[in-house]
Amino acid sequence: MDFQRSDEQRALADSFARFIADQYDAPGRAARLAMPGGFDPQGWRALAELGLVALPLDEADAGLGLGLTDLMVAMEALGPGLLLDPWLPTLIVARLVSRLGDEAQKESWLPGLISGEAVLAFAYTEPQGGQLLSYCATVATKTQGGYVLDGAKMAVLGAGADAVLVLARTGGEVASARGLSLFIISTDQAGLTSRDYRLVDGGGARELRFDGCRIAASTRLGEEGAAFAPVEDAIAEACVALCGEAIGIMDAAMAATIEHLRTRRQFGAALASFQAIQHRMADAAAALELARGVALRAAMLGDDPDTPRAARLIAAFSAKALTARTARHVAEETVQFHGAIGITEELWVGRAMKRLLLIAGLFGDERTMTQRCDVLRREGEAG
Amino acid sequence: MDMRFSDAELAFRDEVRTFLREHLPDRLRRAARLTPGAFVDPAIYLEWQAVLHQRGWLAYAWPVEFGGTGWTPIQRYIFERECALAHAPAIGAQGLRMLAPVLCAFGTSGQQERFLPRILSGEHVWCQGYSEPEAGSDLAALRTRAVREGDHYIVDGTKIWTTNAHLSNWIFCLVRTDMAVKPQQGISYLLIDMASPGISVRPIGLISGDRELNQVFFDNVKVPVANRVGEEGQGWTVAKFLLEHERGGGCNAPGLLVALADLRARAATLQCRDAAPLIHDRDFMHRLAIVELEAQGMEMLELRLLGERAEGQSPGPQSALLGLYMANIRQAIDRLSLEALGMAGLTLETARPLYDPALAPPILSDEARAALPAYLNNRAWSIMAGTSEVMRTLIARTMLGLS
Repeated sequence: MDFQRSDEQRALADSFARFIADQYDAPGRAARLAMPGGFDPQGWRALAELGLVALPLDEADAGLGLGLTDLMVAMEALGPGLLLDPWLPTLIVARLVSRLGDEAQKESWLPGLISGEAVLAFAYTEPQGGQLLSYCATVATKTQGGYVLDGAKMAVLGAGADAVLVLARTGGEVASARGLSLFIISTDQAGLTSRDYRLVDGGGARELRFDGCRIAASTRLGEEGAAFAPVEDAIAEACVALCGEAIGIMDAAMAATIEHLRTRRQFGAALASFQAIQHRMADAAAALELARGVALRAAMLGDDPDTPRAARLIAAFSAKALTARTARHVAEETVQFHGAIGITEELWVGRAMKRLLLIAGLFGDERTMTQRCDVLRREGEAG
Repeated sequence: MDMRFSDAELAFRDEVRTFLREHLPDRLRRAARLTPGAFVDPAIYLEWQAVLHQRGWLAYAWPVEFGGTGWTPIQRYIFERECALAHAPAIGAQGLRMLAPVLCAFGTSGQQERFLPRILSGEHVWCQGYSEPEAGSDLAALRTRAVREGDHYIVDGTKIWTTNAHLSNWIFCLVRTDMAVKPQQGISYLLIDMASPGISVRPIGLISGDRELNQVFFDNVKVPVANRVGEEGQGWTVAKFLLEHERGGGCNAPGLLVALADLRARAATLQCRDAAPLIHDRDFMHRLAIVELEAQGMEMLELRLLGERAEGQSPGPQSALLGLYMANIRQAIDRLSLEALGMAGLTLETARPLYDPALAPPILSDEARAALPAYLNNRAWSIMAGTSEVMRTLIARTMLGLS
């Protein structure tokens, strides 16, 4: 039993923390925000060069073969920067290409994804789907030599992407987990229109529309109709990474707030001396510690090859649930304790709130996550 | 015990409703609904203000001798309630509701004649200079100095969180005129022309993308002594008068109930997590119901305090609860509204105004576009005009006798 970070993990954390200090101070982040889609291609390559994309990939695919616990260490260190880079869709897409791709697809995409030179977006959320992971009204109808895509996706992460990995339905009912397939489609494909916008943290996203979009059979990634389970696995891993990021942000938010409470004086006393504030900060710290534990558990269970699939997914999704809940709590309290300045663009803590809100909602909010776990438990009992 | 309005009061209510139906255009209602900040753009409220002024209803809360309507507290409440139900734009409160009562009570006849009509006409647009970087909750610690030199004060210092200072041409300020006495006793109330040499305004952006707040700097600004309201050193009393003056007359719950009714109506069509209508999500509907009940309870308290005031009584210490309710319930509504939208709610539209017809079509409805900015801006409800922490201390002290 050992919960200490290894030397390698400490070195990993240090190198990413240094990156944030150099590249993601307030002016650095503001400069990226001002770029189209909030995306800095050079900056992303620099981060990829530190090994972020390679970190969890198999060594056979030129990855570093590290685990979710290592990925969490990296994301905790990167969190406070409030990254605008497309690390999240890249993590998911790289994992799916690595697991499902044929040699040609791996060769086409993995080197570029790992180096940061290729950006792929990940399109799965739909306007009518609520937060159901299996809901997919975007259909891929089989034709001569390929498919025709029709449908719409929203909140597609990965602005500045050259191509997009799209989840589309080749069979089954609209909310069925059966009949889903993945396709890698170039963004300048005929029949594909997009609208760029920004998410709450300033990061870029897209709405996509497919109208009679013709694609070759070779664009399909993996077996037709069998995409749901690998996608669910990849999203579960992404959830663990997001937990790490949120915990890193929350740690920094707590530290900034403690510093503020110590220096800010009203009514002749430092705010830190007011018992009511001490109690609420204690509550926030207590909640954060629980989220940290549950996220770490999800990472460790995920890294253990003996963990059954359902248990691995339940651990990841429930960690996301608790982290989401805690993120909102800590965001609101830390902004509140800064007073009016907390809701302005002048301070980091307000920007941190916006990123925490997004993390809390990505892939489903806390209730979606616990409901998904209930479904997985029922399926586990039935199966 | 009777919570119903009298026949005369109901007739008045109908009169107000008819007026709103006939004179409040949909365009202004939409602008009010799509304003995520607490303060509607002056372009919107000045238009509405002119309509009310023409009807003689703009200065409804002022004493009759200054142009007020002579309405009873209950009529004033009914008017505000109907405006909230009709989504009327909130009138710029600073001049009309904050400065005007002060001028009526403490101003010289010269000041009243000069400033009151111009508040009504919209010629003067006022902002409030109270808070400072080092004086937020502890406002008495304010440091902006006003040094007497003949028939002027020379003002130096800075005010912060001044809403719409960039759109205002006058500011009323609490300034320090005496360093030698207890802090509260050395404060005076000054009216300052924003065009005075030495005044500069720095905008402060909010995390919602709204640009309402500012910092105002005073560098050797000459202000005539004639612009002082009340005696030198009486500023704190003047400012506190307003708090007392407003107690027991609040009409904030109806606006909250309207927002909750809107959300309940939208639940029939909004998707929830499993892609079914939100109205089938028992957990969400339960939490919505609880917030509705809290807003109803708040409305009952407002009515009880109104009743006390209408009887000529001083409103009880329960009035201290209202600030806390306003913050808690407003923020709960915003959280639920955001939750109801899922990922669509996590888009941040930074273009303003949100009701600009030229804006790109939103992923969902108009209301969806306003939900996230409202959530972010309304974090201010537990901070501005008294933090929730200060409210709780006040409740413990005045209502419960704990100290």
